[in-house]
Amino acid sequence: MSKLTHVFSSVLGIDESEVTPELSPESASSWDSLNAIILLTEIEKALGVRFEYSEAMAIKNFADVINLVKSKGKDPYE
Amino acid sequence: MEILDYLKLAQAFEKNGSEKNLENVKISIVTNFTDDLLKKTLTGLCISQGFHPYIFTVPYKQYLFDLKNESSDLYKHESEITFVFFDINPFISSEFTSSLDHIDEVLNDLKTFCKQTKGDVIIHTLINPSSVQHSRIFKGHILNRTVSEFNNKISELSDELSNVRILDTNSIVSSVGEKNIRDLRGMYAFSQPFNNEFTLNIVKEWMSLIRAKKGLIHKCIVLDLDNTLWGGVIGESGPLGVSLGNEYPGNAFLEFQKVLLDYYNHGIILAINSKNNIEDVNEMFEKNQNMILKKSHFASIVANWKTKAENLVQISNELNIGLDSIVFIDDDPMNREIVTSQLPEVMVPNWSIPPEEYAKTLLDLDAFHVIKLTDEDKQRGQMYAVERERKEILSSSTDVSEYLKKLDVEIEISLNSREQIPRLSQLTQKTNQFNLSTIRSTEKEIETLIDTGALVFSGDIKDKFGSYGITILAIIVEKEINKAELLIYLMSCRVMGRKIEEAFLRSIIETLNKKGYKKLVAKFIPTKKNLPISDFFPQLGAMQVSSSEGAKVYELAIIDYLANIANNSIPIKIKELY
Repeated sequence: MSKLTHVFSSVLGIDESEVTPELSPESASSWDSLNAIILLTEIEKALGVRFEYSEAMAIKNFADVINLVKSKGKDPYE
Repeated sequence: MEILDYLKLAQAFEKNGSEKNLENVKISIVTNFTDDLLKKTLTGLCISQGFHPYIFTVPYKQYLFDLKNESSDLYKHESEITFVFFDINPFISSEFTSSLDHIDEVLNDLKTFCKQTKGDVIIHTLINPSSVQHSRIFKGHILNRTVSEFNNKISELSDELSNVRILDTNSIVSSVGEKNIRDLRGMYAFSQPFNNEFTLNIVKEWMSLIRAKKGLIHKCIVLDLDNTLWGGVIGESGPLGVSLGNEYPGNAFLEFQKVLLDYYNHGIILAINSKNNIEDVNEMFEKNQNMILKKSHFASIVANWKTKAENLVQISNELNIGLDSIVFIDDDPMNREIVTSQLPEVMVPNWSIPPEEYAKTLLDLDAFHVIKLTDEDKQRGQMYAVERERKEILSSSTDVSEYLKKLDVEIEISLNSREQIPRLSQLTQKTNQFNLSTIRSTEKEIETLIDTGALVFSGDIKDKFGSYGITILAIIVEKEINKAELLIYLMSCRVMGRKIEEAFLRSIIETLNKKGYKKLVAKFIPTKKNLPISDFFPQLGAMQVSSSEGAKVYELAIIDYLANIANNSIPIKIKELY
């Protein structure tokens, strides 16, 4: 399991198989405002990246996270 | 476990509730920032430790309202334990940084709440703005004054009110480093000033206090000897050949013994569980003058060639303490493994570490929290150690009477002694075995009982070896005219087997007789643990008059009872201090 998947499945309390590119606050009820902040800080910690506030706020689904991590020169599947 | 694991548990709990039969715990959190992450992490920790949490958090920025108003949700939640954690920090302005008036108001309201709540209140000290730059810039600044004023005042509050305890946030901060606690983006963007790791550190501290509140405390350290208390093996190098002295590594073992002695002086029971010949162990105590721990500090000394797990069971039985209240320290991973696999309740810290880390590792161990330490607590280590010597007398006596005579047992009985209330409340919280009704009473409840005319008898027990302290309690209320009811009758397990419960009650019944009571009623409520008291009233000659849902009500005719015991004296001296 990738670090990113692990963070998402732990924080949102969902199965790893449910962590798909389409996963979004609309599809996962546990992706609420508190968990959004936790996701942000835990992803940053797990992958050693730092997102701008505006970048973080623009995240709409899991695919956005993957692209954002890539844009920081990190491997989202690590 | 990492923070993600706890969050996962919390998330599952929010979704499905708890599956197992968990013990309920009611908690409140009062802060001046967004504390959702604290709540969530605490939820995860509670679940991981077998609790079903009911956590109330005061809505953002509403702490003054909730503390002030006795009809607020904070009061209504009736928490067993409330955590108060205000953050004042140099990076953002708040009510706390604008004037000293705000903390005066906060302190007043806090006091109101602490006085009203039946539960315990844990108040965090404000974090010092102590990094070099800030102390330079803010010297004499309102920030520094606010911090010291608040911290002094809550410390006074804790001296004044028995249910208030201070949690020194600064010691937690310094253990992780003040650079590693804050999340500035979190603070400015989400009003969440701390990073996830520090949040977890805080919550772990809270969890230890919750466990202590629930009576889940570690009371006893059981120690291996060779390469644990000293370097080397006494069986091979003899008592003077082991390393224990001023040179490395002997000095590290000395320091470890010093820390153990500190724990002993704060009420932790010490015991030995060693693969050795007992003669070699005794010789070590006699001959090696560098030993800081003496034989008299140990409540149980078990040295043989059985497994460490068997010996731990023996020690637990001998001292009458649960396996879950034991911490076992042994440098040998094989021994630790045997204990961990056979006795999972015992706490077994990893001790495959060099001796220079022994003292620090013990001090860092998250095991010995208490909400508030009473004088009685501090003497516990000693009391258990003396008990070992008493047992030697018992084994040389032919019957209990002879044993009691040799021991010179004396009970000093007090009536409605208000200064004893903290101890009496603690007794009701902690006593499980010889306990008639297992009613847990707060200090306030006992005070109210006294105020409303109950008779609170407490016994301070001593013998030739010293004092046991206040270890027996009877609370009597008037049920109807001429009929007294024993609401609470309990005795600490450390004085069991000495007819003290009989002698104590006799004296009380005589007093009741003088006050004109004809009957004493006692309602026995069975629990998993209070079998030792189940036969007590029938044996006194009390009649069972009714039973419901397992509870049995006994009635003792006072005059008949006194006539029956007239020729049957117990060799215990009674002193009535009322």
